[in-house]
Amino acid sequence: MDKAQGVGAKLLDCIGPFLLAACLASIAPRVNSWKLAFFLAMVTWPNVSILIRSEALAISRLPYVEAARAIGVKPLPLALNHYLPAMLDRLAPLCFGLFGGFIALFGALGFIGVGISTEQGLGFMLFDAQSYIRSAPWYWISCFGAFIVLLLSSAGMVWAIKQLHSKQAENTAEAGSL
Amino acid sequence: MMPKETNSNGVVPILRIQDLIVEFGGHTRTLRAVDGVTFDINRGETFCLVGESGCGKTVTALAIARLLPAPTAHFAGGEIWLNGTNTLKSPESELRHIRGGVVSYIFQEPGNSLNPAFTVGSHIKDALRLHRPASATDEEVVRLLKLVGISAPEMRIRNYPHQMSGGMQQRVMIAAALACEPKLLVADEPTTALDATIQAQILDLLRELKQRLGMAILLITHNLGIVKDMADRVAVMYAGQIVESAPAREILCRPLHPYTRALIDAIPKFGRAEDRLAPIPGNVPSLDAIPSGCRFHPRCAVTRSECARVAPELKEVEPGRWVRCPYWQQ
Repeated sequence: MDKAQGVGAKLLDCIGPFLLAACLASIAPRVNSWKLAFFLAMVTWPNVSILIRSEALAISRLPYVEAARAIGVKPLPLALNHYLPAMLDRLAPLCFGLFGGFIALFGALGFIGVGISTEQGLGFMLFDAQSYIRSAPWYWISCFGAFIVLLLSSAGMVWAIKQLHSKQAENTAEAGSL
Repeated sequence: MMPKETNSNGVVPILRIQDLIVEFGGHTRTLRAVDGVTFDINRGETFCLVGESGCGKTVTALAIARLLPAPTAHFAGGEIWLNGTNTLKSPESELRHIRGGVVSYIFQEPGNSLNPAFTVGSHIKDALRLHRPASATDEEVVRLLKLVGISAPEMRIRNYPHQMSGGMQQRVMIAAALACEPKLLVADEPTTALDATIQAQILDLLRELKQRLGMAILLITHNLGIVKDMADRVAVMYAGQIVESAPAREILCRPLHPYTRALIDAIPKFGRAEDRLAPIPGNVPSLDAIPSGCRFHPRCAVTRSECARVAPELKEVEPGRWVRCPYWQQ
């Protein structure tokens, strides 16, 4: 099973999952966004599943997971409370990367007229955006600025919560010592 | 015929392990980590498993609640009767009730055994919720933290594991293990990661809790000093087998197996005239290169030619004393 999964993932890597998805989309009748998403999921899941499986196996040997199993924690709470938080830091970048790849592929397919080529397609929007970016650069500059403001305000909020928490802890410690 | 869960005296011990064999590996190659281990633990008793690293102590302990990773580890033989239930044949749902409810574990590294994403209080409350849901309250958590000697428990329940010292983390682990009032507490080298003063405090705590709650303790250690302080009975393991089993006082004062003798001789002692320790020559054999005959013979000080050919049996040489060596008298 492991070997078959590994060989499948390697083969897909050789062909290129996005290229394969594009080919499937070009020959499939009446392609829409859902069908294209399905093709993409089909060609990318072996790699994702290998990563998730290896992570789960590694996490299952963590002492705190063993300790949780030793007190009889059921599989679902074990997965949600112990496996998931430990896996997120590794899986989140992969998911973001894949999501970005999917958007790019949707856009590329629309741009070359394969698969989805409606006016609402990402390719069309990308094509349309070129003229906006040239004529009104403040559009993308304002997006970048908004992102920076969002980042700074989030950092400020975290700092404020931390301060509040440490102040509360100090008060409780003082009350305890009194 | 006596039921299998009873021992030779007709008593039902809290734990009875009979001819346990645990193997690791797949179709092509299997390694036997535990080979024919047999022992009983009575209610309220402290039983120590002693031996060098890699001799199968932890595997034996994890096998009790079937916590070994499947399918890598599999049970090739034997029986484990825990409070009258054969855990090797129990379904997973029953095992979940047994884990925590009948047998609880304390592991070596308290810092790693607590999930860093959860507070100390939620760790203990999780254990309570599983086995004593009516008691899963902050008051009960505070009571348990007080029981294990944590000061200002009302404040501590909101702390994360990283905000506590190693000794306090181990106390929290003990509180979580005791939350469900288990009948057997398995402590797998509970003091190895702690410094000497904290080690003494944790051992005192375990002794006190055992007396107060009346539970049995299976203590895994390679420290014979701890055995002297804590154990009622001891089993010495070597390369997956028990080589000697006896009451603690007897084994420490008059060891019979050459390996036990060598282990005791290797302990540094104050005021001893010799300036060099007497280490055991060689290393514990790896599981894929177990010697033929007696497994200890390549390192044994009193080895004979027959030792390499004939695998000795574990025999009762005196009442309550079991030795796996035909030449124990020499």
